[in-house]
Amino acid sequence: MDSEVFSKIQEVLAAALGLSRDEIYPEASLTRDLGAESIDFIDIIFRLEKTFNIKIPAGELFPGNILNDERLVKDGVVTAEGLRELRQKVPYLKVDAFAKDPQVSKLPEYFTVQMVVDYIQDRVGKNLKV
Amino acid sequence: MMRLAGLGVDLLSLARAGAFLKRHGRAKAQRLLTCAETRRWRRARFSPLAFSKFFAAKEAFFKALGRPLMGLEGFGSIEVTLLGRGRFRARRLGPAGDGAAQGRGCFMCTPEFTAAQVMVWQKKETAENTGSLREGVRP
Repeated sequence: MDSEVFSKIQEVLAAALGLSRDEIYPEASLTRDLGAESIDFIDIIFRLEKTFNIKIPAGELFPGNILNDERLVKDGVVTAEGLRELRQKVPYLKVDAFAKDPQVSKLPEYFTVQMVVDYIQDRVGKNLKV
Repeated sequence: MMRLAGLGVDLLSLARAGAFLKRHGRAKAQRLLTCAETRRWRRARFSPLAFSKFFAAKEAFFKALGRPLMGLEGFGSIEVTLLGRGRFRARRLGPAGDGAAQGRGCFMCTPEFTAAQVMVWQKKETAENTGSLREGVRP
């Protein structure tokens, strides 16, 4: 893990969520452990864009609409096809852990600090700017 | 024929909405809105209250559909129309992934918070045939 990238992400998340930096650790779930709500996710995206001088395309970091199709979610549970879709569209998400109990309502719990770090490191490494 | 698909509720602090707008500005905030909503927001002089209504209404609509998280793309895929007397209408745009879901709702506003509640309907053949309602409530 790039310590400089992690440090900047700690700063972003701490500011967005009203926490101290030492409360931001890689395994922390943004929702379950850090208390992030919907507006916080948008706030975080915008702060990351500014901090790293990148543009984060809609759906690339925190996917919202990818489980729209009824083939992907059945009775509130993500189907096998839905899990394949997640693996393909959200490579930074730990889908294997989610797959043990793939209730769609619990998906945001798997959006972790590490997921953000992995995404940003990849973007910064590619030096992409959309 | 339409079937009641779910109920959704969302609550947003006006102070939070104002701080969000102050920090990120109108241009960024408009990424969450459709063109029609932006025009409506402009008529409201880009007020935090109006923005909070759009935000809370979209969140409530999304919760009613039982989706986990909207994200930027989700916000842009729902269009909210502010009606008179604290009411609103909401619908999904683009491909009807949710069976052309539509919603009707209302706002409850205090000086500190904006709350939105919505009932959402879907085309009967694509809605879950459980006979039960999905209720999404922000804890």
